Amino acid sequence: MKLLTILTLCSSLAFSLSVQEIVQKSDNIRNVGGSMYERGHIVEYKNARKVDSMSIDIYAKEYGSGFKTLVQILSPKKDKGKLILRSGNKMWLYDPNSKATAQMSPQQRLMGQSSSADVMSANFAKDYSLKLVGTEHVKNGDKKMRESYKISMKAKSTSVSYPRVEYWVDKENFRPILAKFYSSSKKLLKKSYYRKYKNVLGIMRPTQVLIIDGVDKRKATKLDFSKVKKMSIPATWFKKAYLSKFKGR
Amino acid sequence: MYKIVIVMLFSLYLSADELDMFDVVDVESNLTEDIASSSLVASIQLSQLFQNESKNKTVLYANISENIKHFFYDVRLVADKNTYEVYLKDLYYKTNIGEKYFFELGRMSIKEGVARGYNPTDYFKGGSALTLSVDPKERKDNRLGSVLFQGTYISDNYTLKALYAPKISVDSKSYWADEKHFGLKLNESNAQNRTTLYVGYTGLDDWSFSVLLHNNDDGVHVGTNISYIDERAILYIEASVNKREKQITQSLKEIHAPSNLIGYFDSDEENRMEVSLGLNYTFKNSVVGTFEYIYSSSGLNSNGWKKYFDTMKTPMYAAKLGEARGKVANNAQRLSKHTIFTMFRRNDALPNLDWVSMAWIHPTDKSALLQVGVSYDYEDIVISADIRMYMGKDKSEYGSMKNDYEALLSMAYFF
Repeated sequence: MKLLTILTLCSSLAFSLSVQEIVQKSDNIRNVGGSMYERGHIVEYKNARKVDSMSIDIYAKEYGSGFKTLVQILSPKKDKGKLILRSGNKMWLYDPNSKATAQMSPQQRLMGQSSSADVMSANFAKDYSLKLVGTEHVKNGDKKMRESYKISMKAKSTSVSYPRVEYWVDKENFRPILAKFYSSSKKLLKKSYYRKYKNVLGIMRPTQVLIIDGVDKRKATKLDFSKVKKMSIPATWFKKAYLSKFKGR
Repeated sequence: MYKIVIVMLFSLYLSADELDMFDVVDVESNLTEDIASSSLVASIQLSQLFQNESKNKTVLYANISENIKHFFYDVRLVADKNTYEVYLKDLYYKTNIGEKYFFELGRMSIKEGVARGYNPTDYFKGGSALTLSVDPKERKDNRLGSVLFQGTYISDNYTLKALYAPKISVDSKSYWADEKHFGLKLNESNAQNRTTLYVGYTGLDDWSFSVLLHNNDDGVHVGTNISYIDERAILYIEASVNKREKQITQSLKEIHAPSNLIGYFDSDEENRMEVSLGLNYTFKNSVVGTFEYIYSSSGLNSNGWKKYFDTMKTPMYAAKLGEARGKVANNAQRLSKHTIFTMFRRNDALPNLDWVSMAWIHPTDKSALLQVGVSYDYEDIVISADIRMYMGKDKSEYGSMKNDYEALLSMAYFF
């Protein structure tokens, strides 16, 4: 009986490590890590028709379990030059013309296009408690059926944007396929397909994320990333006081 | 019959593979578009103001600004059918030593304060508002900068700032005089010597904290900003104390009102406090609400307002009191002791359509300024409409305003 208990414990430990490893490998594909720059192009759709778009420069630096990000809006013209800083639980919007800085609550940042970056930069392995549900076949972003790990995740703290996530990772290469983001009341908020894998900094990474609204399926957001590169970014760039000093690259 | 077809088509659409749906949009992907790296922002806006008592007004605004490596400039044109003014809102040089020390020199707009309605620690709020709007954010965001020097040190958890804006007097006949269309308005933006010291602490995850010391002609002001952030809420308090007279007395002196009128409202200099205590909350339906209580110990209480309206009965004083009140509004200060400010905002209430409603409420005399606005953006065009109503009895803060309502219709184009 003792032997059986020890074997069960060992196998559950191995199982747990394995989940951590799967998600970590997948995170490493999704996130470049360290300190980086990339250009993003966000398009919002309703009924498959483009209703809005935005181009942004993203400066990100890994810290603790997440990323600090500084986003500069390039278009639309009416928002050109505005900055969005996210540091931990705090988020600010800065307008260089008015010199006005407005703080946003975590829920406020989940509204609109600014929330899209959360889907891309989330650090699942560190921010969530993981549970391997099993393996199943799921359609990937190129509409091909892939055998995948299905992982159930629960946020370790309230500082992350989504309390619960269901995540499908390609069994063969650990590429993220699909993530479903839920509220604390288990309501589906977003569904993300990770698509268009390209060689970015030596690894095949998704360069497009298609986010479908959980409540209104007719609403969707498409994020394309390009010009990804490692970049040394000073820590001061991620301070609120720096926003008015920002000069760009 | 056609209704059945529509229902069938809609059912088919909902059951379609969501990835199939986005094969269509892939065609629209415009990733190859190379985005211009210029940071130049230019816009032109035409606004029509309708008022029930005053003359309607058409105003043209134009704006050009650019954030170049070591320079920032912002030039504004404000014109109506009678005249035009070109404002050099900002023009300053910026540089840094390493990654922690930053310096700016030139004309620059400075803003402080966590509050959404009224900012007691926004010590540079006085001066020209370059807009018709009564939206506090609009007025706060569109105003003439001051000529100043600012040094900032940013560390991991602290921010230290020191700022000096000198008093500048220029000959009104010189080519940059205040009266000219292209005047720099230095007498206005730098009417007094001002110094600010700022210490901010950001070392706590959910809290932000700052203390300010500001010195100007009124003496030393001590201010603080504290905010706490939760999942849906931002709680904030912003306060400032300085030794001064009552606001109405100060404003009457500024407009050189007759001494017996000033004497009627005369008040001793004493430590007076201004506080804005507020909550910014995001509701489940994505509406963002702000609830703010504003206290100004230098403001008029019920008896003060009664005295104000009693004095208005004397025609020779009425104009001066009106002028003093206008001065308070231009300086973005508060004339009342107690004010409640509420604002509700919903971005993308409909595709590309935002709405905002706000109210400035005088809790004692039950008068209010209500404003509702919508804005719609399509490509590079933004169309907006605002309606504001002054409600209350004739002898109340907002009911006594000249106009009962105003409407502002604007169209802006961004180049």
